[in-house]
Amino acid sequence: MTEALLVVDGLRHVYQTEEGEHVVLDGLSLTVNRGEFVSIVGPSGCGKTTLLRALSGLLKPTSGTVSLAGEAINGVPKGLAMVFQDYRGSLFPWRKVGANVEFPLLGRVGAEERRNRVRESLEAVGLENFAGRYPWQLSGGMQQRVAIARAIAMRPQLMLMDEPFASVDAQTRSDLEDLVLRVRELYDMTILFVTHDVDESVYLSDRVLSLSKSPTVLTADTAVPLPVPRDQIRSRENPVFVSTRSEIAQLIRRAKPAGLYGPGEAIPTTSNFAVPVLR
Amino acid sequence: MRRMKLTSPGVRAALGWAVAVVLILAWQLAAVTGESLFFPPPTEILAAGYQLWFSAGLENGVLTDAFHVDVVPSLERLVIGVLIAVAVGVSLGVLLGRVRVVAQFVEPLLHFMRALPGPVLLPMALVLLGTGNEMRIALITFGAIWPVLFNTYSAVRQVPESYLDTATVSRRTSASTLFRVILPSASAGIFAGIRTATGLGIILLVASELVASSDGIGFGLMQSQRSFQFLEMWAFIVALSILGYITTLLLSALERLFLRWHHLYKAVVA
Ligand SMILES: Nc1ncnc2c1ncn2[C@@H]1O[C@H](COP(=O)(O)OP(=O)(O)OP(=O)(O)O)[C@@H](O)[C@H]1O
Ligand SMILES: [Mg+2]
Repeated sequence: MTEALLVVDGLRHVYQTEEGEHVVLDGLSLTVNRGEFVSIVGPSGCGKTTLLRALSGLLKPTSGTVSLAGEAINGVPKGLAMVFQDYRGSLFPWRKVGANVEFPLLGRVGAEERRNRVRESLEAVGLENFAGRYPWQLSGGMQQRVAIARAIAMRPQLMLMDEPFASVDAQTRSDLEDLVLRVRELYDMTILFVTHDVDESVYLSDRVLSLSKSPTVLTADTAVPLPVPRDQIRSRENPVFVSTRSEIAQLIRRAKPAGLYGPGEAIPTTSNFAVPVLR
Repeated sequence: MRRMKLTSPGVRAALGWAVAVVLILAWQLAAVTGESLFFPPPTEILAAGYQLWFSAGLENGVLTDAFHVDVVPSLERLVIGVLIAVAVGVSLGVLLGRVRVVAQFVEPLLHFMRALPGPVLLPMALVLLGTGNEMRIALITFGAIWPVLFNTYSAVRQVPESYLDTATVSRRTSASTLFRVILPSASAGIFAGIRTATGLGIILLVASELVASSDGIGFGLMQSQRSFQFLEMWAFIVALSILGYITTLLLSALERLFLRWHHLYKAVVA
């Protein structure tokens, strides 16, 4: 049974700049079903962050509608959590780790329940012994785990993640990828995950959405028929992984403003062209 | 044996005290040999101060009546004046820092007013507010408010956008965002403003007590100078410097309490 959790219809966003109007999202429509893990990949600057900001209510889109669990949303919806790329900027340096995780629950959940949730969420990311530290006393990967714990503590229906692992080393990154998959199982969460990294998107997702360059439209919706549970070694050796990965890498390479270059068309190699990340 | 480093805080504090002691001894020596009426030795000044303010005896609570006339009114004025300055300054600073339209309209006016040295307003304050406590407190507040206001304003504007985004997606109310995100994030800047404000407050306190007053440290200072009581005059000067020193200690203690994270954080991040 699939039930649509997030429905985005005709989302359009235009930034007003000094040089005039800059159309970033040009009528984006997508659906994320309950329980799904969906990744969004696209060239740098195509508007991925803008999209997540519009979905989380941080930015009012120029037009288009977004609904979560059947309700049209205006402002920040309930049941949504966000993990930002910049963990340093999203954790408060004056609050200890436990207090940072507790932050979204303040005034909403009773003290007893708050304590339990903080402990549970920190356990889920393996940081139960660090509640009393300040976030800046931890490594980058640990800080991003704190941010994930804070998102879990909200018990969200939908978790948005904006390139959450872009600034950690490769080993930490694999660990964090598996952590997210585990946490998702544990809490039955739906995740919409933005990344630059094609491998990462395929490894994590049930579905990968690829975007064109701005003005940005959806160029493809690729299912990832890779067996679960995923495994860092075995999944990546699976022929399905290899073929899906190259399919998506092609899509990104062929991205042009508002669409794709045709299969036979010459792709310009100059200008600010995004090179897909392959590992 | 390990060598002591000049940079270690303990050693520096000890050195600081040693220098002070040497200077006071030098003063003592010079005063005793010079025998000038205007520069009595520190021992005599301290004795005079003790006689004046702390000689009521243990059973009467040590403090003399003179203490309640000379010192207590000044403390009251300073504390009330600075507290009002902090409350108003922080509120206005937050308003200006958060509401750009207000800042655009009011900022030039504020810079103009800040440029006025507080004591200049004394004659006007006398006319408008009379010679009571209100006038003196108003003057202290007027002088002390600017560093609080401008420091708060700039600290609030520097609150990282990402902190505010985090508050927003956590569905915080504006009050909760103010008290749990904006003010803590700006607290170091605000505190620096309060320090400067307290220093200015002491200057304005004395200035306001030099005219048309009947009590307080400034009044006592003036009075003893007019009646050629130079020992007492010096006792008042020392009392002022001790007042300044105690407020500094007090503020440092508060800062250690509330901004401990900030000192540690700065050390890690820088
Ligand atoms: N506040 C803004 N005002 C004007 N233009 C903006 C603003 N924010 C982003 N843009 C522009 O919109 C475009 C999309 O930005 P966005 O940050 O959404 O891209 P992105 O896909 O997340 O890029 P990246 O992969 O590098 O993170 C960029 O060209 C950017 O310069
Ligand atoms: Mg981005």
